[in-house]
Amino acid sequence: MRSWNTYVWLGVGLCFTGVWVAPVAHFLLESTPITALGMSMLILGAVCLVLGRTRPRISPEASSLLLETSVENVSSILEELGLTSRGIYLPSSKAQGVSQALVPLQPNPPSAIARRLPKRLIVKYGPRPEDMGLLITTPGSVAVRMLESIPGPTAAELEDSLSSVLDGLLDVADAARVSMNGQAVTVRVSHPRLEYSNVRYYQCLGGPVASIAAALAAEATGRPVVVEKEEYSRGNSIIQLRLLDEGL
Amino acid sequence: MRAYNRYILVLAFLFLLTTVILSASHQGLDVYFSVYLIECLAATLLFTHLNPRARKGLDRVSYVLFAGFLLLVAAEVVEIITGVSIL
Repeated sequence: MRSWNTYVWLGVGLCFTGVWVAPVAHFLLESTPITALGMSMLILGAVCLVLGRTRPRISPEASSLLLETSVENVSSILEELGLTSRGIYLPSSKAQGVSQALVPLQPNPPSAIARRLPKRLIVKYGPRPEDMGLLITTPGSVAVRMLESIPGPTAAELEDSLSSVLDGLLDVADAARVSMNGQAVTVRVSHPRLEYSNVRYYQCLGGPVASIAAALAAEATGRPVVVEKEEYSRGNSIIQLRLLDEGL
Repeated sequence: MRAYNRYILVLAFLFLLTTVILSASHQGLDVYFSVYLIECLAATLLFTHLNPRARKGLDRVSYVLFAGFLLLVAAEVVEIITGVSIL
C-alpha cells in the first residue's frame, strides 16, 4: 500500500474542506467568493494528492542509510588498496554504456585510457603494466540513467540538466549554475542537502553532489572529468571540474 | 525550499490573491474558475524542473480543469442560444 505522506494528508484535508465549503457557500450562503475559495481548495487538494503520489515509497532516512553503507564499503576498499588518486568520471561511451568513475592505482594521472573499458571492478585501462584501476559506479552514474535525454555540451544545457536532476528528480539542492572556461567547469549548487564527509570515497571521487555534476559533465561533453575542488560556503557548494582530453 | 513546497505555495498565493481581487469586482464563478485554470497552467509551465512523474500527474489535473472550463463555455453558449441559465 502506498504510504500517506504529508502531501497526501494535505491534499485529503483540502479536498474534504473544499467539498463541503463550495456547496454550502453556493446554495446556503449564496456567496460567490467563498464558493470560489472552496473550488480553489479542491484544485489545490488535487494538486497535493498528485504530488504526494510521486514521492518515493522509502523514507529519506532509509535512502541515507543505503548511501552511507555503500560509501563506507567502497571507502574501505579504497583505503585497503591505499588509493589516493583522484577518480576520473568517464562518459558511458568509454565504460560499456554505463557512466562510471575510474580510480587509478597510480597517483600520477593516466596518459591514456582504453577506448572501451570492460565491465569489471578491477580494470586495465592502459598499455603499461601499472595502468590498473578500480571502475566504480557512483551516485552520478545512477543520476545519469534517470535523465530522459543526454544534455548538450554547452554550459546552459548542462546547467538545465543539472538543475533538473538536483532540484526536480532528486530534490537534493535548490538550484545549480554552471560556467565553462576552456577545460575548467565551475558548478555552484545552492543549498545542497547531501553532505560531504571526510571519508576516502569522497576524497577520491568528490561528494554526492560533485559526483552527479561530474558524471553529467562527462556524459554531456563525452570527455573524462575530474573533480578538482569542492568548497562549501554560506550554504552553497562550489565544485571545480576539469575536462580531460577526449583521446585520453 | 523544496520544489514541491514552492509550487504549492505559489499556487495557493495566486488562488488567494485572485479570490480577493475578483471578490472586490463581483465576478461570477466562471470567471474565478477560468483565472484559476490559467494560473494552474502557468505555474506548471514555469516549474520546469519538477519530477517527470509529477509533471505527468499535474498535466492530468490540468486536463480535468480544462474539461471543466469547456463545460462552462458550453453552458454559456446554451444560455445565449436558449436563454435558459444552466449554472
